[in-house]
Amino acid sequence: MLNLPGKKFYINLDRCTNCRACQLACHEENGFWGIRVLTIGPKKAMFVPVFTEECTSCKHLVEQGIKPVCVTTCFTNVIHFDDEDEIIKKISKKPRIYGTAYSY
Amino acid sequence: MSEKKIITANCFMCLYSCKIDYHIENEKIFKVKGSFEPPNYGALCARAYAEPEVIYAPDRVKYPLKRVGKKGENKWERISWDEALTIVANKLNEIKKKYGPEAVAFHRGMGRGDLDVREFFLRLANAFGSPNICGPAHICFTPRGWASCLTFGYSFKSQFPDIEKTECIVLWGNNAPHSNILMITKPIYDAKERGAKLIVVDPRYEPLARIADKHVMVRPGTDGALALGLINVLIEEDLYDKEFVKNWTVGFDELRGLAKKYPAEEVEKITWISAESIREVGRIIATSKSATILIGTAMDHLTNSIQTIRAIMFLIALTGNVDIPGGHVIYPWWTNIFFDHNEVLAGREFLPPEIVAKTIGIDKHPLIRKINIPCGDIMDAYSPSIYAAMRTDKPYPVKAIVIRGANPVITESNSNAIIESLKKAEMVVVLDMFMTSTTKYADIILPVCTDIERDWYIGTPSSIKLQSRIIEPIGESWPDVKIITELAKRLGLEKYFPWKTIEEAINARLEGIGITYEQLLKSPSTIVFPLPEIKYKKYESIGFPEYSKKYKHINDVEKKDIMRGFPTSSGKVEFYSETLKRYGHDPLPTFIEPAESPVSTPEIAEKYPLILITGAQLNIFTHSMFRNISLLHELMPENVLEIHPETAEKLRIKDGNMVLVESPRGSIRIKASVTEGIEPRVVHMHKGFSDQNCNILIDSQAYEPIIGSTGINASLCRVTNKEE
Repeated sequence: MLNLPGKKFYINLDRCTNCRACQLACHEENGFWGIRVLTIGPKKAMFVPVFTEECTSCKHLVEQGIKPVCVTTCFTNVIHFDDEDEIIKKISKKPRIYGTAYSY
Repeated sequence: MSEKKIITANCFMCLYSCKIDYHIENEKIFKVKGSFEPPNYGALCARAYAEPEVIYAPDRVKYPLKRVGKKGENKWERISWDEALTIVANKLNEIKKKYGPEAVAFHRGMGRGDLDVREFFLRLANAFGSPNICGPAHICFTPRGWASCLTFGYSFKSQFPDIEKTECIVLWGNNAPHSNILMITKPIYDAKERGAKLIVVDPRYEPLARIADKHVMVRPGTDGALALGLINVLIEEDLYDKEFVKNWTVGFDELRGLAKKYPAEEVEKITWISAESIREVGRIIATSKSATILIGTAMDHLTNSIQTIRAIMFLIALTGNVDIPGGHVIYPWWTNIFFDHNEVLAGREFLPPEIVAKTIGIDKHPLIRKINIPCGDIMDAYSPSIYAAMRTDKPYPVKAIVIRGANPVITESNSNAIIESLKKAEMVVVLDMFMTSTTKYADIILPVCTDIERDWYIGTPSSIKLQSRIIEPIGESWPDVKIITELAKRLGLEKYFPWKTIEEAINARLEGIGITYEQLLKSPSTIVFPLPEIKYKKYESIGFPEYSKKYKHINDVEKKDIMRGFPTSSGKVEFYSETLKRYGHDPLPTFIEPAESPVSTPEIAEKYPLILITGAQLNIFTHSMFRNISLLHELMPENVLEIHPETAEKLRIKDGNMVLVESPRGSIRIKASVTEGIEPRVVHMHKGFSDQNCNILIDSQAYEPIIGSTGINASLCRVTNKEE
C-alpha cells in the first residue's frame, strides 16, 4: 500500500463488527478493493480489517484535507488516520482488550 | 454536455435515514458518499454503497405485470397501469360484494420509506372496509410495546436507554451490531471505553460479546426464568430500590412470592446458566449506579414473549432505573417526527364495530386493537390466522390479498403453508420493486419506485424538509402514495382519498404534526424541531400526561385523571397486572416453557434434539431485502447453519459440509459453519434467504397466548450430514 509521509493508520480491533462498509466504501471511491475485513478465530467473531497492496491511503482525498473513505464510513470508529504523534496519544489513553494494530 | 451535480438526501435502505450525497451525472447516479450531517456524520454502512445497483438493477420491476402462466411459474405479461389497476379494482370489489370486505386482506411490510407512507396503505384497507391487516407486528416490536404498556403504561419506544451516561448496559437478545449500529452499537463501545459494565445475554457469541464483562449463553426461550432468577437475587440479597418499589409499584408482594420459586440453583437447571453467573449478573445490575437493559427483537420471537419481556422490564423498575440519568429516560416519541404515526390518516375509525368484531385473531387474542399506543404497538389483526383463513375458509373465507413492500413467503412462519394460502387466493396483488419469492404467486405486480425517485419530504428524528425527486423513476414505476390513491379511486373510495396533488397528500400526512406544505416550501433549509427539555423522574412531578390524553389506551378505561405517577390504571408500575387478569391471562410473569423445547415436548426432542434459533438480522441486508444485489450478495452468498464443534463432531459434520436441517414442518439443505461462538446444544441460521429459508422449519400454529408470537427463536430441529 501507498504510504503518505508522517501519516499512519491505527486500527482499533475491539470495535470492528464486520459490517464491511470500509470494503465497499473503498470500492465505491477507488474502483478497487483496498481494504478487506477478515474473520478469524474459533468463534468466527474476531474481525480484522486488512489493507491490500492496492490501497493508496486515498492520497487524492488526503491532499484535499479529507480523511480516507475507510475512516469516514466507519460507524464505530475502528480505523483512524492521523499524524503518528496523535495516534500514539490516542492509543495510550484507550483500554486495550484485543490489542491494536499499526499499519505501515 | 454532461452535467454533474451532488444532491443530499436520505438513504432508503433501512429506517434510520442516514444522509447521503448522491453524485449525479446525466441524470444518473454514479456514486454515493456519506454526507457530513447528522445523524451519520459521513459514515455509511455497506448497504448504502449498493444503492446505485439497487436503483439500476436489471431485475427491477419496471412495468405493471400480469401473470400468464400458472402460479409459481413466474411467467408475466407487461400491461398498462390503467389495465392493471382496473383488473385489481374490479376483482376486489367483486369479492367484496360476494363475501364482504373482510374477505380482502392487506399485508403491510416494511418497504422503503415505510414510515412516510404506511398510513396511506392502512387507510386503503380501512376505507375498503377490511379489518384484516397482516404484518409482522406479533413478532417485531409489538410484544415489547405491549409489555411496556402493561407494565409502565407508556410505549417501549419512549424508554430511551441512556447509554451515554449509564454505568451498566445489559444487551438482552439484542444483536445490536447487525440491527442498530448507529444508535446503539457505537454508544456502547464508547460507554465501554469510559468504564461502563456490559452484560450480554445471548446463546450466540455476537461481536459485542467480545468486549462484554459477562456473557451468558441462555437456553433459547428461557429468558423469562433467567429474569425471575435475577429478580430473586435482587430481592433475597436485598439489592432492590426499596424507595421506588414502595412508592411507585403495585404487586411487589405477589412478585416476591413468584420469585421465591426461582432460586439461582433452580434457574440454572432451566436456563443452563450457572447459579454463580446468575448471582454475579444480578449483583452487577443492582450495584451499578445506573443500568439500562436493551431488550432485543429476539424476545419477540418466543412463544412466551410478553411475560418474558415483562419479567425483564421488572428488573428496570426493581433497580429504580426509571426516568433517571443513565437508566431509561422517558420522553414521548411523538416529539420525534420521523416516527410519528398519523392515526387520523390511518382511518381505523372508518370500520364499523360489527366489522371490527370480525377481525381475524381477535377471538384468540382479545387485546388486539385494545392496546392502542401508536408506533408499532398497534396490531390490527393476527397474520398467521389470516393466512390460515385463506387456506381453510375459517372462520370465514379470505379470497384476496394486497401486499405492499413485503415478502411473506420468506418472512412469515411456516413458509410452505403461506405458499398454499397464496396459491388458493383468487387475487394476489404485490406492490414491490423487485421480483421476490412472493411475487411468484401474484396475479398482478405493481412496480414501486424508491424514495429518491419521488417528490416527497425527508424527515429525520428531529427535522423535516421538502425533497424533490433526484432522478426520474425507473421504467413506469410509481411512488406508493400514487399507486394507493389511484387504486382507491378505481375502487370507488375517492372520498377517502381526495388529494389531487403531492402538496395535498403531504399536508394529509403531516396533519397533526403542526407543519404544512406551504411552510416547508417557504423554508429552503431543513426545519429543525427542538428536542424537549429533559426532566428526570417525571412520575414524581408532572407524570406522563401525553399518554393519558393524546391517545386512547386500554389502561384508562376507568381512569382517574391523575397527573403524577404512571399512565397505568393503578398509576404505578404494575408487577401484578389486573388488565391481563381481566382477559384471562396470568397477572404475573410466571415462566412457561417454549411451545417446543426439550422440556415441554420431550417426544419431539427425541427425534429433533437440537434447539434452532433463527431470525437474526444481518448488517449487510435489511430483513429479506437486497439478496439480489450482487455487491451485497458477494459478502454473504448463502445462509449458513452455525453449529458448535462438539455437536458437529458427534454428527460427523465438518466446516463447509452440506447438511440437512429438519423440523416437523419441513426441511432445508444448508452449508454448516462450525464455530465455537454458539451454545453446543443450539444451532443458528439467519433469516431472509430464499434458498435456505429458515421459516420453512418454524411452526405457525404454536404461539404465545396474549399476542401470538411464534417460536422463531426457540424451536427444535435435527441436523444430518448430506455430504457423504
